[in-house]
Amino acid sequence: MMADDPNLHRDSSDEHLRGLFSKLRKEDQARIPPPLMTGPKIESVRQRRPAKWRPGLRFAATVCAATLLAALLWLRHDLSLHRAAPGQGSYAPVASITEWRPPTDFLLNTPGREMMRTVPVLTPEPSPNRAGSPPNRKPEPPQAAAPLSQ
Amino acid sequence: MHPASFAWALWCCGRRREEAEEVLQSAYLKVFEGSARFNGDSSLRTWFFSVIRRTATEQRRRRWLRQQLLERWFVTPPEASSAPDPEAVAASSETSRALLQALAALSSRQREVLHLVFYQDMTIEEASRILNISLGTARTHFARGKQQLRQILALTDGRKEKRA
Repeated sequence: MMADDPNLHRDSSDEHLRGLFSKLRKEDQARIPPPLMTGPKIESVRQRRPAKWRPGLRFAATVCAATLLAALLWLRHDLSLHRAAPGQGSYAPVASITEWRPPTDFLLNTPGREMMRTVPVLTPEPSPNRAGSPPNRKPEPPQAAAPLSQ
Repeated sequence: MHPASFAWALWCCGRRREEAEEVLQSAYLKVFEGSARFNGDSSLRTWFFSVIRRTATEQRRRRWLRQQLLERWFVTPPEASSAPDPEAVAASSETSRALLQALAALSSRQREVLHLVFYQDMTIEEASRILNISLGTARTHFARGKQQLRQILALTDGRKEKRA
């Protein structure tokens, strides 16, 4: 990088601006305050500045922060222990998916739903020699087996 | 060095005199108490000017925070005037007032670079060190600020001539 030459920005077009600024500087110099304030004024400035941390205060703050951090870590550890052991403490055990029943299951209990679940009993086929018989004829009850002859 | 430092503090505080005095005293205290240390990387003036600038920024931030907290939680604080010192404005000549008005229209970075180069007779490199920006950025701010300042001053002169 090129070094900044003090004369680089001293072109003739700047002279007008330089003149204006130098006039302002001369006017400002007439109202310069003394280098250092004394008495209550300097005290007020000193008080307004943020207080410097004393070594004791710094130690106390560090101890407080460390205690807080340790407490937080302990709490977190305790919580994770509770979560790891189901059924203990105030944490409810997690139900198995196979045991779970939907709460709206009862809505499926409609009247006559047994019909959907049972198989109807069908009558046996009519014999070919009775082909001309009317279709609404009652089926004959099955004959009881003949008792065994002695 | 004290007059130059005060002028820079005045500039960093928007030409509010009381604020500038406080900032400068705080900067002096920082040096005396050793919380700001000169390590010889730059010239003493450059280093002290950057201390002043940092102190002014801290003070402005603190004041803003205090104002915000007071407004939110307590009562409305007495409003700190953001306008330049009226006494100083009255004492300055017409040309200086025109210059200050024109400078007020520029960005703060442009104002700072122009002040450091024209008012404090520093190089752009020194200005860039004080403002903690790169040399190229400082050059850009300087060129643009100068151009804008010329335009504003020309407009002001034109208006004056019309009135005359």
